Amino acid sequence: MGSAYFKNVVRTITRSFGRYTAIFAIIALGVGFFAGITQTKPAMIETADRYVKEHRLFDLRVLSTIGFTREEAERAGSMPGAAAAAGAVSRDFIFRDEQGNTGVLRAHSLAGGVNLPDLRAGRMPEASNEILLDARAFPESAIGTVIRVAEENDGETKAWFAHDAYVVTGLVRSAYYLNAERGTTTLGNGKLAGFAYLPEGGFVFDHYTELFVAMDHDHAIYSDEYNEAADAWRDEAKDFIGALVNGRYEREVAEARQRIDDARRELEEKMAEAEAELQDAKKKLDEALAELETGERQLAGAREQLAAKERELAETERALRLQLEQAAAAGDPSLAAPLQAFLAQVEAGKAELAAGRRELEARERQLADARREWADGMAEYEEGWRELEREREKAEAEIREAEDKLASFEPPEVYVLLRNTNTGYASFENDAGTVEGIGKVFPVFFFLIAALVCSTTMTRMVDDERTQIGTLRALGYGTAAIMGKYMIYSGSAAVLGCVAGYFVGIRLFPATIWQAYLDLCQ
Amino acid sequence: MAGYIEFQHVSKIYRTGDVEVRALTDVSFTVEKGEICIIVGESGAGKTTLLNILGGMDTLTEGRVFLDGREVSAFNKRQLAAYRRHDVGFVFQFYNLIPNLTALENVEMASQLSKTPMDSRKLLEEVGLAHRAGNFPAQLSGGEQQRVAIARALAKNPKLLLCDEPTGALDYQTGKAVLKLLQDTSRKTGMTVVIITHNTALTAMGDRVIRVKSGRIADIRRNEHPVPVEQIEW
Repeated sequence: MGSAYFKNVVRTITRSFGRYTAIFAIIALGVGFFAGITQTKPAMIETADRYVKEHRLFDLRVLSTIGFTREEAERAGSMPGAAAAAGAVSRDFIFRDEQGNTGVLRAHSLAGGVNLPDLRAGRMPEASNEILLDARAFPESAIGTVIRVAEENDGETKAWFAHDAYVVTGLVRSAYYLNAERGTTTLGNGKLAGFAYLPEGGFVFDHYTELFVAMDHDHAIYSDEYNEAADAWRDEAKDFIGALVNGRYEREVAEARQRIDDARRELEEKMAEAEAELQDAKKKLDEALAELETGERQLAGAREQLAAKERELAETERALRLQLEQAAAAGDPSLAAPLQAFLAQVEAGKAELAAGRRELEARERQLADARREWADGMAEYEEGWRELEREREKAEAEIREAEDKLASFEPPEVYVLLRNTNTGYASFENDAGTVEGIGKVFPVFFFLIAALVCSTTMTRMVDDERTQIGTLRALGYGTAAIMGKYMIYSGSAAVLGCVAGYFVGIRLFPATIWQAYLDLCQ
Repeated sequence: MAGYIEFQHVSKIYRTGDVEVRALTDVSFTVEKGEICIIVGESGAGKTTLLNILGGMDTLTEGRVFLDGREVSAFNKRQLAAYRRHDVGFVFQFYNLIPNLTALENVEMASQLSKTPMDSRKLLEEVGLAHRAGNFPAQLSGGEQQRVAIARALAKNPKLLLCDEPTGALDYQTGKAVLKLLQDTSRKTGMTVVIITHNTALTAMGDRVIRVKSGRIADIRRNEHPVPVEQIEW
């Protein structure tokens, strides 16, 4: 085959350039579509990978039943292999903007070092009453306006927020919300309108509710290496952070137990003291009773003596009066005078006895008072016991309650969630997979069409050139050389089409699809 | 016996399904080296089949064909291609030039195949078309095209020139000029030329005339005094 042969081939191409271009174009189209669509998933994932790395999306999201302290969040960062760790809280709330629109936002605290917000407009918040909003859900004009925690939020939700209104300082995107999917909520219509970022000071909280850990790695997202590594990290984090949280739990349980024991001891001491006091009082009461009874006995004795003396004196008086009457009857005045003197003596004795009786009565009253006083004391003493019992019961109930509470204070559970539990992250892979699915079906049609067009075109061409084929054969060209002409013709068109289609498709399709995807997401 | 070209009891049967067409039946003849052989006969008499078998374009059903002592009928496809390439030059009724190539390139198309090619430009000169070397077939007249075709056939320096109705598409004068070219070439270079024609007038120019009728040789005649083409009238 000499130069003339190739001249013939080249001129065949240049002189039927339309046909040649048609083959080239249909193949370029098919290959470009196939290459482009096939390349789109990797390109999307690579773009997302860069974004995720740049904004340090968490690798591990750790939850615990007792939350996390600031110290635990800090110490989680020293987990082997961790690049950064940060505690965070989040809370869904119903917002109301200045136009009166409402919806549900998920407010996240700004966690240092992990899940960095991607500021699209405005500035980062500086004060605790400033807020960043989802760039997808709010227009740029929202910057500078006020977002309120709406009245219809329940008290618990309101208590989470330090302020009831926040000033919007900027709009953000977040690797935490990779695609259009924002997730669901239990509030409002059940759909999140978007997300928001608040400084930690914008929330009121004791403990962080979640802990984000970014690991030090260079694995591509969704890759098998990443998924394997993530499984290993999960186990490590469960042990490491679990130990931190469990340590706090054990310390807290020990402290509570100590407090209960102290309370119990204190109660015992107080009770013993009170009992001793009561017993003292009782002794005193007993003594007083003994004294009282002695007094009464003495009084009874004195009363009997007095009564005996009175009887004696009355006897004497009656005898005297009788003797005096007898003496008067006898008319013996001399007798009357001593009798009269004796009677006067009796009268004096009587007066003396009356005074004694009065004294006795006073003493009686005194004793009666003392007994009443004792009875009161006794009642008071008994009341004291009852009071003591009541107080003991109350204190014991309190202690029992504390003990019950302690018993029901269960050891904390620590849950380590991976990225695949993040809606955006998981959905994004699905979206990319959808494109890949299209890439598996559509090119088949393109190839079928291309094959049909090419075979028709070439069949026609060979038919058109039957004479020439015969001539070439007669000239002594072999089958391979004759066929070669058509192979070069169609083959070069196909190869050029493949190359051109590949390079155009690989740039055009991923870029176009990505742009469309972004338009969908933003 | 043992001529330059030798056909021994050659038969050719085309089979299309159950239909058999006998194109040639028991054809035997010889042609000597340097002769101009005119094969004449009606359309459909089997002239072209005969030529195709001789030129290695077609195979035969029975018999043997020799050229210069080699059995052409025993060649395989590869050998046939090599045989066509080196030993045979074809001239067709409709010239069959490659439209995408210039006159010169058409000649080169053949010369570049040969181990012992003739100079293409010189050949064009000899056929009187040096000034048309750069023209494409579409820019040439029929006679010019046929002369390019002859130059192309000669370019490989073949042992045998096979011409299938070379003047069939040409007017009288042009046809005559082409035939003269063939005759002169044969006389000058001693090339064996086989010309197929249905024009019996042309038999006068041949050294040997083979008359074919219904696939059989009707008559072989040796012409002791061939007439120069200029003197033939038809």
